[in-house]
Amino acid sequence: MSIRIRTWVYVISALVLFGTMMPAIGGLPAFGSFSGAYTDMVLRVATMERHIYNVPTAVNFDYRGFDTLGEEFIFFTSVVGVLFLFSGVGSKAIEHEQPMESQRTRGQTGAIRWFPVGLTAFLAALGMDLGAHGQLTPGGGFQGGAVFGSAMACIYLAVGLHAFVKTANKQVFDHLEALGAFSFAALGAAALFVTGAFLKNIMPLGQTGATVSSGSIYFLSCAVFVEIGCGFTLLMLTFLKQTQQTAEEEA
Amino acid sequence: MSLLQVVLYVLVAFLGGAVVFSKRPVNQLFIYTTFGMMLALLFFVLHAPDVALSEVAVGTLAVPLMVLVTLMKTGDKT
Repeated sequence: MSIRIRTWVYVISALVLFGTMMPAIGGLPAFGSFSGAYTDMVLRVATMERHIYNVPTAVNFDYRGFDTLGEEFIFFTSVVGVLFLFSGVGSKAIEHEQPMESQRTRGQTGAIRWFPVGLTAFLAALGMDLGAHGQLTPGGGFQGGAVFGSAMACIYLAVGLHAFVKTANKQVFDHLEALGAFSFAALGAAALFVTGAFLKNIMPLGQTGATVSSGSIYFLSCAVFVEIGCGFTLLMLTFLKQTQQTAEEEA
Repeated sequence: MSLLQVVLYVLVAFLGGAVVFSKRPVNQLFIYTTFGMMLALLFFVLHAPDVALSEVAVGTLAVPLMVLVTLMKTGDKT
């Protein structure tokens, strides 16, 4: 296709898209004026029914818990896929050999070296805080887990791959990740056996506003936190080992 | 619509365009990360803190990590 025809194809498609998009955007309801029956209902009953303040978490882990189960296993499968693809790649050299410390730390000032160390502690605490209080404040297992994973990555930034590999013990994180994913499904199955409905909230609901409250939601959120936190760490571990291998090949 | 919302909408639109039009993958990645941060702020301003937290996790941690490692592996040849 010559550049002329291409330009014409683009101009015509752009005009058609513009002509159809504008009425569509114009027809959208104003911000905040959406009134789905589901939204109103959940907002009205969630706190009373599930002893929870953060309604999005109630939707994620209870009213629409089954969707979250699917999402958890999408993540779990991706991590397993990555680990499977890169299994055994570039691992021996790092675990037994001191890393190229001099190269990494050359030109680093004390501030650059020590700032991530403090950040590691802060992010790890923040991640656990987010993961444990999904029922009270915005956050929950996924967000907390991701923040915790980035705390682990800060170890790499601060000290190097060698320390990261040692801290994030692959065996332990492997098992914890699987345990997190399993706990979610197991809690769902337990509810199925007890009440006949999958993922029904079977735990005692506790007092609204307490750290351990909202029944199963709290435990599901914790399971997701463990899974996502360990999963992200494993992903980073695997990918960073790859870069190390590349650096070694080039050296 | 508050002034903060307007500023963030404009920034998100501008940075979104910048992501598409930047040529070097490394530059693109850092613009994308900034775009993700602004998008997260916009979600926060629009009263969706849960979504904002997820956007921070995915847009400024997961995606940049994958892309950076891929660039390290393949070399930034452009």
